Amino acid sequence: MVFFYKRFFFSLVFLSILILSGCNKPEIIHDLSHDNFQLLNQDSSTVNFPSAFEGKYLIIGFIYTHCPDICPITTANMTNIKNQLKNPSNAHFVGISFDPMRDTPSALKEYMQTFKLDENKFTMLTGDSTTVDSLLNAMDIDAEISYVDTSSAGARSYRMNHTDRISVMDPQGRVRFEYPGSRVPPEYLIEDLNKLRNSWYEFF
Amino acid sequence: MNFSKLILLTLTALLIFVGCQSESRQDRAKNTDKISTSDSIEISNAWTRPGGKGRNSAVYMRIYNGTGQPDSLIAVETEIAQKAEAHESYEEDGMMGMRPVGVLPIKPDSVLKLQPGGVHIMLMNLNQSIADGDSILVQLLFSQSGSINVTIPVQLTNS
Ligand SMILES: [Cu+2]
Repeated sequence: MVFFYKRFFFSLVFLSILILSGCNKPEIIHDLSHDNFQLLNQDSSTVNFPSAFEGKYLIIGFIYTHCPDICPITTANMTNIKNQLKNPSNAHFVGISFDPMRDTPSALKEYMQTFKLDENKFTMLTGDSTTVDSLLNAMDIDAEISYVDTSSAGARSYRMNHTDRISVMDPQGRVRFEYPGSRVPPEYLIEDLNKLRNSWYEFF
Repeated sequence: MNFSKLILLTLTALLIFVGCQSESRQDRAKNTDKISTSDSIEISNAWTRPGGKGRNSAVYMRIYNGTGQPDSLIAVETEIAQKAEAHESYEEDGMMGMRPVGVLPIKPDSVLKLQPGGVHIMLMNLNQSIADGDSILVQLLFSQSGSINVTIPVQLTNS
């Protein structure tokens, strides 16, 4: 009789743990695991996204290089996250441009140099407009030209309205967390990311 | 209440008042590593982001109006960029954007903060690239105080 109760008690505990961890399991926000976006990095090399980064947690920021305020804040935030992560060996940082018209690979290269981004840990991505648009769509990023200025010399420049976002993607290519990129405190993202990295259920 | 008690009370009140005064001055002095002054417009904590030639940058600073009368920042001139303009970043329908803000009024004894994610001076189409460690020259034009030249360090962040 006592034996029976013991077994019952342990099954109950086990069940509760299962249910509780199920509750805490971060949902899959966007599943890109079966998608393939052919993009270019800052060195003009072809990058198949997301499969090229399979096995790594990705911290992905969305930017355009003509942006003077919000995007550099997002980029600085990513640098802070990188610096504060204790063991980022299975994490990589990706900047995706939503302005592929102007953001050529060399523009992205220059951006990385300007903001001193470590090329071992950061990859900047651009591509043809159609591919970039469908990727942005898949990751729920909006971006549109908001203001066009034509200078006396006839040069056309524009600003953009855009989603302020840093997303966290798991090693299988699924977006698990999304934050307001220029405003999220690095600690918040790191706490969530570490939960994901240390969870037993992520191995199933 | 007798007379000596009243004097004591007044003295105490005066002491507290003076104490508060000097403390707030001290606080202000702490927050303003002054860069330049003209008619008591005080510019502090000025910095700008790096940027490549043909790109944009943003200038941030604190502007304290100690002139005793209302003033306003009406224009910004610089040789480093094709155009310098007061802007603000704003959020609308879940998207971030930027727009010019025009004249920026500053009440007497108050501070106008130009800071990341808010009001900034946008440097449009840089004439040359500016890197971390450089400094640039910017002229601020105020409606009452006239023009003030500020040397601004180029920094990756403000920390
Ligand atoms: Cu601006």
